[in-house]
Amino acid sequence: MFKNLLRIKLLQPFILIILGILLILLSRSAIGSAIRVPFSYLFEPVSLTAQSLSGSASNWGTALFDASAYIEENEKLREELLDIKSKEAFIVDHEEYSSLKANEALMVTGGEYVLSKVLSFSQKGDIYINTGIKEGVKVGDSVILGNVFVGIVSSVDSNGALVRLPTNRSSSYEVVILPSIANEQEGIKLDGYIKSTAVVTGVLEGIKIENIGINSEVSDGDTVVLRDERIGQLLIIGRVVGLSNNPASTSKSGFVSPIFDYSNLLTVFVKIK
Amino acid sequence: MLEILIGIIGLFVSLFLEHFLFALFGFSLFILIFLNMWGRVSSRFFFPFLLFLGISLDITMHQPIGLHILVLGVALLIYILFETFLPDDNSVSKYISMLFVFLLFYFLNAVLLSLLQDGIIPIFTSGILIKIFANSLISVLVSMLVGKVFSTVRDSKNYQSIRLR
Repeated sequence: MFKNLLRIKLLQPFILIILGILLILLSRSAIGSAIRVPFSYLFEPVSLTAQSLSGSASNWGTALFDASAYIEENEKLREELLDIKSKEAFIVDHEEYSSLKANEALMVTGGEYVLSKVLSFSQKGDIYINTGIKEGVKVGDSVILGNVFVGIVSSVDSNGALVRLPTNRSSSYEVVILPSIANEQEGIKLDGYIKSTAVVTGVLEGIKIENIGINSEVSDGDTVVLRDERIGQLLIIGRVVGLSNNPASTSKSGFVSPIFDYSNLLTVFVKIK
Repeated sequence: MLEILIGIIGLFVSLFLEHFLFALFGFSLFILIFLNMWGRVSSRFFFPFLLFLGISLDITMHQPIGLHILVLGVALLIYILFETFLPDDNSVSKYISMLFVFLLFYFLNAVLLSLLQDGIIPIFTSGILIKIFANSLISVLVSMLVGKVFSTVRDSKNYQSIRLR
């Protein structure tokens, strides 16, 4: 009977629409993950190979008129740059770091991390990494590089995971703002360091920071540190830029300039424990 | 048996090419395969193939399962409506309707993905719009080429038989 229904041309789109809606509803239930696992086990190696190859093709296309050494050198330099930037973004000095540990209940020391390669970046504010269920990655795991927050795992399959960046419009985190020259202020505890609490959200232009206390002395260049219960770690997001100072408003707002360009990320660490 | 074998190989090849082209240019092969094969391949094999391909793409692209099938259903509905009102031959009107269907597919895919995954309506920048239009235009050009190939190899009235003259 179904075969006969499929032969009727006008019924075909309606069958597809109903099937699509049913599948979407099904994927939101427990059956969804039961469907995902065998399919991802079968097809993810194909998709990962294709994405990896497309990345290489893109690199070659960009450096069409240059030698292959140029690509290798470029990638090496990008790695080094990210490494330097993530180390430079260390909150303050060791003394301040110790005081943060002593005063901050949210701070989690140690942990287990999985090194992941970034396969693709989407303008929507996601990156796709090459580690998944097999490596112990779960939805909600935080993704970092050095002391810098990269994002949260939003979807995971056997061999890969989707990471939602702070630039994604559905991202929203609680943060604290620390002075940019905090290491020069010796002997100050965390409470003394915090200039204001705020909320960061992903917008089309990047990362917006809002609800900064109107009387706080926050200025452009101050460090934005993530302090969110969902992450459980103090991690740097970036620096305050374009701070608005409207005397009529009840709070200040501005933008956060990330420590590094997310589209340049090559490797990240997923905190699995 | 041969159809099943072709279907399985086709599934893996299509999946590979879709991921490769999508990651490189944001180009979707899924809708292109569908519009060019629809009516030319037995629906008994074609629709199960599409269902498997759609689900596999949703899963490997970390999208809600059923998104590709839903968008395809809407695109097909619009295509059939166009076919009802416009002449169904290899004329310009056919390819204009195809262009609209391709554009609709890319827009609907982006909107529904953002709504279902993040609960927000996406914002289309000029860069994204140009990319969508360019991809749709390329899809139409490929469809024209496929149409030309089919018309030289097979009878335009009956795709089941090979043209002998």
